[in-house]
Amino acid sequence: MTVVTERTAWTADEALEQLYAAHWRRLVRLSVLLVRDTATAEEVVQDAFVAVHARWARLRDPDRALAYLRQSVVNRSRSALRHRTVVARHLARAPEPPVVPGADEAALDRDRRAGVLDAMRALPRRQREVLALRYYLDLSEAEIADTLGISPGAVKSHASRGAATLRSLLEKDL
Amino acid sequence: MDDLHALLDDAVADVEPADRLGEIRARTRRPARRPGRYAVGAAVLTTAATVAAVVVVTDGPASDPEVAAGADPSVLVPVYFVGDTPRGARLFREFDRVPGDDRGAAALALLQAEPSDPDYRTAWQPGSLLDVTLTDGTIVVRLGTGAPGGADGDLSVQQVVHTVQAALQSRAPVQLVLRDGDLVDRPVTARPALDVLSHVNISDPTEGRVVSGSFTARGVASSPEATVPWELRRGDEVVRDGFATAEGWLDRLYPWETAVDVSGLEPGEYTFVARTADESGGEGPGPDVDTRTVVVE
Repeated sequence: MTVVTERTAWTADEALEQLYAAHWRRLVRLSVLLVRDTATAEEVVQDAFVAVHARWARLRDPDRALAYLRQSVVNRSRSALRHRTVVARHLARAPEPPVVPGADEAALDRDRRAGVLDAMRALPRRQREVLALRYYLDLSEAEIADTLGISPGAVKSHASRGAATLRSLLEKDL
Repeated sequence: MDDLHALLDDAVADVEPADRLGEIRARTRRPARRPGRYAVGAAVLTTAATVAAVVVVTDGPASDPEVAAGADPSVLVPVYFVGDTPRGARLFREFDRVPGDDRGAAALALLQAEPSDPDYRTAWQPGSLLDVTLTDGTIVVRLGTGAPGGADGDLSVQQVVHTVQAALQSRAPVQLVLRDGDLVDRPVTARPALDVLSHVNISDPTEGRVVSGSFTARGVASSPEATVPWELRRGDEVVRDGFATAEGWLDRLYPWETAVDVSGLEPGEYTFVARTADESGGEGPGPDVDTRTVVVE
């Protein structure tokens, strides 16, 4: 008889289903914070899930798989921006509808959200990534350092500079 | 720092991503979704690969090379294909993903490949478009052999113009040149969208998408009163219908979006249909229509 190790757990397909159920929406939202555009974010995260499936045999562990997914989403979001597919999507989608005077609460919500996403996009890339991982995913400095491949010290300084810039950008809008 | 936490949470609170599990499963089952298409594109994309390699190396990010941004580069580009409307042949847009790192080359490869939507066609045979460059305010497209004549006339040129302008993010005029560098006529500009494009176009779902529970359909349209009637059909039977409201109409194409509930439907193939509203009472040419096949799980 062969020794059964911890690998009795999930097959790649099962892992994919579990990870998708638990993290799909949150990871798409993370990517939206980085690339701004939802359709692009869906593509990015879809690719990340395909990649994690292919790698399951080496990951084998849900926590490591999630770390891989996060890293993959951040890198692919960066890549999507670099190739400017986001711009294409925006051109294709056309701008937000103009705000009419006496706009209702939904329109105000939409404006506020658009303002934050625009401000995020205006940040330097590293600051944007660190803020999204720190304040949206609630990752620790060590986890962020791992995800981005930078030192914990760099995480700290990007986070404080990013937070300051984001605040000043949003104040300007008010 | 709780305020930043709340701010970012709120900024994406209304993002409800479409369900893509079906698509992801389909891609993990088979190595490539449309092997035929990729094969056609391969020749064109080869030259792009050497350029791409440089880009990847100069900006290698995180620790794991397999997750690095450029590890399996692919680009998503809009491509215009020819389809029919009651007003004659018009252009319809599809979004397609192609391996590679060069948007121009990807766009040309797709123009010469089979569209995913069987209702569309392209006049450009493999080998008829060689490469595209943007220099000094002009987009230059080099023609190979077998460039189209055909009944679609200058719509096939507009197909190239709209596609490469979108791919290169430029409104620069497009100069077609022969392989030896001889110019073909003068540079061509994009004709107005409402003259050459279908007045309704589905962006999502993509052709053959697997759906369950519900899905979001999106697209663009210029339809009277911004009303975009839609139907979900099984064969000839309409099983769901409704109206989407676009963000505008009349002067250009505007985005529309609608949720389609497919819970309780028998698994199988359905057709999602979006059209322009027909207010002519049968007097006019009739509505523009775009369709996509979806598979309910």
